[in-house]
Amino acid sequence: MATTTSQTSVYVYGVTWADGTIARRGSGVAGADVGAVEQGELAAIVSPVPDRFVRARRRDLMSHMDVLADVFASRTVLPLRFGSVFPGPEAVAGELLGTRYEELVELLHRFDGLAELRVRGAYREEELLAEIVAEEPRIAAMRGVDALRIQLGEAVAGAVARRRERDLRMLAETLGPLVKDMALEDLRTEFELIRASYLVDEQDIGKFDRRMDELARREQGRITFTYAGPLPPHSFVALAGG
Amino acid sequence: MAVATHGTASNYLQRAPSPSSLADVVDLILDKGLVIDAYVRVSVIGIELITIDARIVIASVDTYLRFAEAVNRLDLTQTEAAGLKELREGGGGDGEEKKKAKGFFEGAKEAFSGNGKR
Repeated sequence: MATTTSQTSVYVYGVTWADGTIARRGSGVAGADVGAVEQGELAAIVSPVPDRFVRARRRDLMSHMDVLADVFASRTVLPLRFGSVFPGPEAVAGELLGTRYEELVELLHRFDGLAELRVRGAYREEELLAEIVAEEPRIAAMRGVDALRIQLGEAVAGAVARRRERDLRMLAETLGPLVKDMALEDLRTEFELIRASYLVDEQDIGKFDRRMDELARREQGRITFTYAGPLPPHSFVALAGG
Repeated sequence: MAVATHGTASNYLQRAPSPSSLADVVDLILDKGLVIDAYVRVSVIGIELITIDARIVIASVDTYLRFAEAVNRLDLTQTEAAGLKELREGGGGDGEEKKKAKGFFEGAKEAFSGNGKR
């Protein structure tokens, strides 16, 4: 199919309530101006992208997140996954907002006043291992014995797993009462404790902050926490049937 | 950059309004959000791969050997000294500590940033 450089498609960031106020200059994916395609009560947050736009760059990923965060600062927004491109505004109005109208309205109501908070916790490697050696004489005795390397490693892995279980329970008890929903992600290194997203009522964010702060202060000798949010509910939105 | 906001001015909790590293942003927006299958077509080759590469199998002989090596390498007197120093200074998180804590998985992290530039 022949394409010319003048043809454009429509990149979609997310869906929010229509009120005609969404506009940002030059800050969207591929540097484009951000606007809206409206259909009834709904608005898709969009920007034009060249038809040949196929390769995302780091700054495009940041733009996607930033545009959504900006809209989220003043209203409920349902994020789309990065990289959603429609052939034109009509397709956005029809295939996205039209076909899914009732479902999107329902989702916007459901996520009204809710925010995603992302928490990562990782053990401080040397501090955790020192704690294990100090608390578990069997492991301390195997240290430095070359023939027992695998047994030692297995015992340490078990000791780390037990501490992770205990610490996850402590986290659940501390944060659980403030959480509407939770999404856990796979751990990627042996010394990670948790990668979680929590769905929290905006009114409870202050409380969540304080509990997180107390927790991190208490555990600072052994666990490092990072915490991001409030964010739009990226990890919790889904349409029926994909 | 992680900045303390909402009254969380501490050096033991990194707090930011939104994820700051490329890997964290990728986690947030590439795997998550509403999907309208027929129309997703922006290529993110090279970015998707790193999230899979970095995933590790927790229970393996390889892992056991790395754990054993880390425990055997552990200098307990040094760790205790570092702990005391921290207590005196009222908190961890200084540059040197962070560098030390990185040791074990430097390889995985380098693979991350290396691919991220593509």
